[in-house]
Amino acid sequence: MNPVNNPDTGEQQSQGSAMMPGTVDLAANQSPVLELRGISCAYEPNRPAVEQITLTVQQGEILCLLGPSGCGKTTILRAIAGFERVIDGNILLSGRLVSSRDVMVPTEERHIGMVFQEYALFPHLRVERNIAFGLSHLARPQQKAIVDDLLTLTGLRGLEQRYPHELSGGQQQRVALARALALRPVLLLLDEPFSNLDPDMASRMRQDLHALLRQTKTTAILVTHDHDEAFSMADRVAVLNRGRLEQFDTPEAIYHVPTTPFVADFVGQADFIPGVVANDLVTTEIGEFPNTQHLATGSSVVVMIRPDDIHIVPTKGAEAHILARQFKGSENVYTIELPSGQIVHSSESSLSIYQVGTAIALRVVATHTVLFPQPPQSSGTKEPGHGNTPPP
Amino acid sequence: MIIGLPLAYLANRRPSRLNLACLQAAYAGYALPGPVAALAVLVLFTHFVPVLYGTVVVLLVAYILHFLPVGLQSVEPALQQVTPNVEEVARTLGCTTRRTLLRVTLPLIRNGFIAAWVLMFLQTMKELPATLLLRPVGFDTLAIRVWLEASEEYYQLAAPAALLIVILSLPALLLLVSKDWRGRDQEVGR
Repeated sequence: MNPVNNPDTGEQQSQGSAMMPGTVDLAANQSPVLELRGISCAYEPNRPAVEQITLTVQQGEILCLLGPSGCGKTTILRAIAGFERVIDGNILLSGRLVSSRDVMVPTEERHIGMVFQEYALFPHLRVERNIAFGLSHLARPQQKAIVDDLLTLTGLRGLEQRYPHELSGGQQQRVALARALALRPVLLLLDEPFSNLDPDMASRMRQDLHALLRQTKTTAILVTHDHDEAFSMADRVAVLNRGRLEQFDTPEAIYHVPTTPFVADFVGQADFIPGVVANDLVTTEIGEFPNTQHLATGSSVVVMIRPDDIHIVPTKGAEAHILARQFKGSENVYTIELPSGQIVHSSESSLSIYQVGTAIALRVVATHTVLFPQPPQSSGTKEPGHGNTPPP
Repeated sequence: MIIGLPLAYLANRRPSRLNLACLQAAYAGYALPGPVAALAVLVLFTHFVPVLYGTVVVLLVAYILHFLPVGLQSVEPALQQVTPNVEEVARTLGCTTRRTLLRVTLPLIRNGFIAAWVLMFLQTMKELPATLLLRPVGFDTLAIRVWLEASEEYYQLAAPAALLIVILSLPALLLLVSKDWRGRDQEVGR
């Protein structure tokens, strides 16, 4: 276990020091496998798809690129693989410059593995030959040994003589994975690998993949739009929006200490409540919060609060009331209207069922509230339809 | 002699794919009536390389110009079915562009390739107007033989050549049909 996985969840942190202490240790004595230095890519001139992305991936680390569709995450992956040119910045693989404005090392010399969203298996080859595809420079017995190992590792034994179209989605994915791992790439790139699987299968494959990557000590970058997936898989997460890097940090920090309203909203349901700073406290409609950023008295802020911190106490004559209930199996998410018209959400256990319209008081337990100095342009910056706002 | 032709067409196929404009131009060749295409080739040759006038080369060029689209019609969709991802994966597995073509793309479009070959072969064998205009003296294709004899009402003399066309077409036709069966098998498996 590396120290990154120990979350520092207990208390509020100021946003300036969002990086967890453990991350630094990991980076100390190794040169990074991958370094992006301010890269930009564009499909059309003057309209960059990604801009000024800087990040590093250490040996053995799993990084997730997280963001809504069209945010440029796949473009970054393709730039790393050498399928897209960069118009600015540098890409370094194991310290070697592979992409810049003038340099473009061809894909086959980069020693990377790739698993595509659609798996892209070779339909004319059997599973065995698919996995051995990159090994043609080796003698047959060596090829067979490697393929055998991978078949065992990925649980595909017995299927080696099948053709890709005779396999289920999960099996196809494992073939794609085995094929990519056969050459022991310095870096494995996975483009939305679970999006074509049904949810049960996806969560099982996620665990398997995570174990497999750890077992083979593979450094990997995973692209996803699903924050649950990013959180469960990644050592570090890079949140992207509109081609820009919003935050690059551990999953815990991303969730608990988001640095922008976009991140806060994208990685989980969040409400943004306006407030005013008075000395050490921020006063809002639903209570007072500590002034963690030491902002000047009188400045207006926005407090981000997550539904699991808001609890419902049915109270006769209270001014807030329930607007809607959304049953999610393990929990009920209530939409609540405050007297001012402000909407907040509360998540309650799946057995706490209150009628719509019930007058309620709120009990707020502020474990992860975050202050943003300016009101977020949330309606402008967040992409619609990623599921954070339940239907009215 | 005629059997060798389609291979020449197929060699032509790939470069024209690289350039969309070229592709469009290729289809224009099919729209032209045979004699017009033949005359165009004739004028070009007498103008620029008169040495070749009256040789088989002129005929070949006319065939290529005229029947290229037929081949393209079957190869293009086959190529479009191969997603770029499959080729990209091959690149990540250490294949250069050319090896990717040999090991992935060509095997995947094989069926379309065969179909193109067969269709062009069949078309070429029956071609009459362009052949009439461009053939070297004394060079008769089977179709010409049939036409010559039949136009003189010597039907019995035309018959052997006609029969030969049918017989030569059969294996090609068979290839086309068997390909269809293979395709269906694969779909069932899916």
